[in-house]
Amino acid sequence: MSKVAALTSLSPLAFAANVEVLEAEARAVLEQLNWAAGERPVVHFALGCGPAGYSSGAQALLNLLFPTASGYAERLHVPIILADDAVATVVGVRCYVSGSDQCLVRVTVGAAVPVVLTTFTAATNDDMHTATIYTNNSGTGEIAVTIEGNHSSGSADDCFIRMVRCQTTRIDALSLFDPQDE
Amino acid sequence: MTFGDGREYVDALPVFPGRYHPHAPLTGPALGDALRIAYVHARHHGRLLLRQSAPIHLRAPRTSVFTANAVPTRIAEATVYLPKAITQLQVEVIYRVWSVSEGTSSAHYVEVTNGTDTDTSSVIYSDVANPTPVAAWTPPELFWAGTPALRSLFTLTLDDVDDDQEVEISVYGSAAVRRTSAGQPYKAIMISVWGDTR
Repeated sequence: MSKVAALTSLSPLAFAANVEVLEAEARAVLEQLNWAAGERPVVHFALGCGPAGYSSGAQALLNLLFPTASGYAERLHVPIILADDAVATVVGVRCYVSGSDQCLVRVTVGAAVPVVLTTFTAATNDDMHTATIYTNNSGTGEIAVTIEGNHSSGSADDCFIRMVRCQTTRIDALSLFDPQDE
Repeated sequence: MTFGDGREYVDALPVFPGRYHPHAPLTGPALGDALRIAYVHARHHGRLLLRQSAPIHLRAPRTSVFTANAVPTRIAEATVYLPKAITQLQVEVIYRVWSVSEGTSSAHYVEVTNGTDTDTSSVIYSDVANPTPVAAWTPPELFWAGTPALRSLFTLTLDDVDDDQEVEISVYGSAAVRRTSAGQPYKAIMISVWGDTR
């Protein structure tokens, strides 16, 4: 039986007393439940503001500064629990870069090969750059998400990571778990 | 899928055991009961979209604030994928306030945008009972850790912003004296936003 996830509909009469259930109705319910299970991506963490070094300010930003020289330095290390049925994890990062500097962010999820996001410059200060890491590379269960910063060009001391997010993707019908006896 | 009767199913009523007896025919009510429980389960498990904490250092001084202005400032933001069928956001803010010894209110609201369309909740005002008075600012070694934590809980029904896309969620907060509208020191501790289906 092929796996189908769909928004289905049933006649209200199907739920009336003593009405026998048709095979098509049971199937519609299964497809609906598949849909609901697949369309529920999990946010593991999403950070956007911080107390900015405990100083007062108009807007406190998540102030994870890039190093002022080139070379990767760890900025976030968060353990997450990735469910067995997760298909992929999306890690998104937004940065503030000043002047003509360039910064790189490297993301590692579990055992997957580290991914370097598209280069951050002052022109991309409003953009979130993302990487999609598949579960068959990262592994599941308790794994670590590591975010590292690299000041690849320039040395300004005011370039920082201002937002991060880690979220699983929706699960397509074909990626749903098989029934145990199949 | 709807049940076609316009009702909201919010109670997970138990399925009558006779309906799943090994010899019982699979009838409509059993199917309906199972489906309703699945609905209730889904609706009562809002998905976390944003959670941000700003822990208080034990010696965080009174100058360590998110804002001391009356106009709410952004205390949390996140760009996340908004799952399908999410119809409202549920927001919880844990925060602390110092104030002059007068009636003081906190103000919070949430905004969600996809860059084109924006939904904004109304500003939620909450009275702050017995805020730590400004007079306690001296001596200056009095710290945030000694002030009571408060909570604001509110919702935003999504209207213009559709589900199934990447959105930016921003939460704003501040505190002010009601009589004079003078801003007071405000510090958010933990901000959470859940997506819900209603």
